[in-house]
Amino acid sequence: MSHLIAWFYRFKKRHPYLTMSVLVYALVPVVVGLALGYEMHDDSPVHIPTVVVNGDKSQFSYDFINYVDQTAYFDVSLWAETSEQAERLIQEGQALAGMIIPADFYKDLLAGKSPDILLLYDGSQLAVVSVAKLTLSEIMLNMNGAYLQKIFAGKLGVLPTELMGQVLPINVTYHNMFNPTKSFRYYLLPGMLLAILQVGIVMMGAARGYESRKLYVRDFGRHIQNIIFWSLLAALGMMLCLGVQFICFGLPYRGTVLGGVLLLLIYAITITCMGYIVGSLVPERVFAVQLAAICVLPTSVLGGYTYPLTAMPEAYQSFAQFLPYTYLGSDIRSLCLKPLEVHHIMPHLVFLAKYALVEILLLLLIKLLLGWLQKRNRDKKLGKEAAL
Amino acid sequence: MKKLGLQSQEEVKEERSKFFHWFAQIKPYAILTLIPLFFTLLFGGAFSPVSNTDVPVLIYDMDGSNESRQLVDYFVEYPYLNIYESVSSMAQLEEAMLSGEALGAVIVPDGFGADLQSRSGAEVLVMQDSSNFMNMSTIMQAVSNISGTMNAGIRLKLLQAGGMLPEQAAKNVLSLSVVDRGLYNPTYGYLYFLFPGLLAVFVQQTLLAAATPYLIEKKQLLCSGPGWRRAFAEVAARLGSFALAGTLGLFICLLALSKVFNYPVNGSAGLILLVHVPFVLAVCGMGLLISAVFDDTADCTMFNMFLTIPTFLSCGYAWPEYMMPEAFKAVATHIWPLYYYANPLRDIIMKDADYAIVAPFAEGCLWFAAFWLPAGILAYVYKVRLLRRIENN
Repeated sequence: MSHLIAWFYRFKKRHPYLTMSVLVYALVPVVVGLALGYEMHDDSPVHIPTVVVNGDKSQFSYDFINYVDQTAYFDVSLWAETSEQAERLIQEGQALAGMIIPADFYKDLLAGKSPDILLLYDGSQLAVVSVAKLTLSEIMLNMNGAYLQKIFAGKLGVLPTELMGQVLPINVTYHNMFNPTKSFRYYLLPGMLLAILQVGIVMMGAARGYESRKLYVRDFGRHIQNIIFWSLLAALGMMLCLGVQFICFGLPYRGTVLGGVLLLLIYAITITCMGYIVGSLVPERVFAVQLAAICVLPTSVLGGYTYPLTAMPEAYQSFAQFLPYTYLGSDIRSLCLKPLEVHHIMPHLVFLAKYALVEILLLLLIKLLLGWLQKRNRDKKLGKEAAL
Repeated sequence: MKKLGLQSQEEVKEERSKFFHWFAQIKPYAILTLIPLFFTLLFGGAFSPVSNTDVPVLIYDMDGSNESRQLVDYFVEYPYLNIYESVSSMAQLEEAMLSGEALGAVIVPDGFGADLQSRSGAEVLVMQDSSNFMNMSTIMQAVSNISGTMNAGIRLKLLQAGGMLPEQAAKNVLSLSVVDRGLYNPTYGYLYFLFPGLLAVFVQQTLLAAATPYLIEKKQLLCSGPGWRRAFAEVAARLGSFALAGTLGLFICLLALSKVFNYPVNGSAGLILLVHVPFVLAVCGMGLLISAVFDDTADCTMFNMFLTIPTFLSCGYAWPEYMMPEAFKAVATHIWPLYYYANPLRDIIMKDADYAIVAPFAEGCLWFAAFWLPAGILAYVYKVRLLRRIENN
């Protein structure tokens, strides 16, 4: 064992780039892709543990509870006597939703007293709430419709053929486009996996920038070579990570392949270059790497990938327009779920390409300035030594 | 004069070196206290609006009747939608949905008004981009509210026209009344939901960012440096000071959340510390282990940064614990301690959980630390010995 560790230690010393490159561009994409894909392979919250307080105990209320239980989304597995007990079960995390049917519910319903059913949701589990709330709303709408049919037929004598038109004057049909199964995995994983990888990409860029900080404008070609080489590796790493999702977990990809490849490639250049600039400026390697990571880590949140930009204050919305991840996150999810063509993502591709160009120009300026400063210091030193 | 010039350059160098030394000393503590505060303010500001507003929705009114215009008016007046009526064909509408210009579309077909008047039931088609859940929920909620209001109004008129008294008609229209309550987060706000988990990640990441560079440097020194006893005391004291700074950072963030964003922070400091202390011990164990594996500080920093999002997504916070495959949960809770911290922290801060709820997490974390802290120390010591042997050879 110790021989193996010692060999690995020496190998790492001899090939420092190789070890970290394999880790950042191959191992992490595959392992993280497999782990998170496996974790979320159920797609969206189903069988939500639900607690019921049935104060009514009529056949109607039991039928109603059965109806809820039979849907794939709810699992009525807990029963409580009071709403306090139900709330306690939610507080303990044993139940994530609750339904409280008051005493004499059916009697009051027949008497036209419009009794309330209280639905409880654990607001600390938003992924569950989003599904539970929509599903229970649909169920209640159906129940309400069924009850109103009885009223309209019984009390107003409406003919069965006209019944639906009067019970539900406006019938709304929903068409869930692009993600018809409402898969939480499709919504979250494509962009989030790339958000994980971009941290490694920018840090590798920073490390390379730091190592090349003694190369000035004269060697600008070397900088460009560096950026292109590490960006290519980064793009391959991102493709590998998404490939794991496509092959192992059936993540769809409906958009243009060319557009996707271009997007990942240009994005990789943008992020590698960002790290390279940080590495060129910061005089300490670890701090450069940390700073570069801090520059991109929050963009997975601020880029509006999970929490939409329309919900953020205006200043944040404006700021997000300058974050490359804003374009990558939304576009990669769209490319997976929508039949996009190149022209759909072209404005974003052009923006990212301009962004990369500006970064390269900025790097050129930095190298010019640093080269000039270095020359001035050297001249000063030589001048002083000559004077001595 | 010339001599003075050279001396001053040396002095500048010395000053710079002094600054770097001071910066290296102060940096871990700044990371532990100021970085979490910065991110708390940054993310808190982003999530502070409770509602998703200005969601772009297209309306394609093919009917143009009084009834359809009334429906359109309802949508225009709805506060959270940004309504456009700029399409004249389904092809244009689908293109707008595809390009993301519109996140939803309401299509009112020809004959809508006539169907309503003839009481034969009118249809409305709502297309929604379900690739983003939050936007989809906003649109569905809006459509449900508007169609529900219009339907209730029409039914009321029909019942009254059938001879029912207005009061009785109103009761029948609202026959099955539903009241829903979002416990611990009444507005279902992202700020309230996300922050306990974010704070847990801040504590984890800043502690690793502060501890591992120190441990790696110390490892290099130990290869040819002082005796074990003194080194062990030094390392323990430094990790202890990091843990204290991290704890201070956590409470500063909680204070900022409460004061700046009116976040209702529940629970007691005692309960928070009950889960915080074992977690810090567990993270120290993981930090020692990681420092034993990596010999380059920058490489180690890269690895640590990689942990941020995957550990958050796999700790049962964003993706509910009951939905995790059993095998995954078993592995995730045995190789990383965030599960034992993020979840009880949410329970304390959001749900005002008591000791009975929190204790199993604290106990689990203590067991985790009881294994991984000694394992980390052993791995670290083993690596130092191995490096000494390699250096000697």
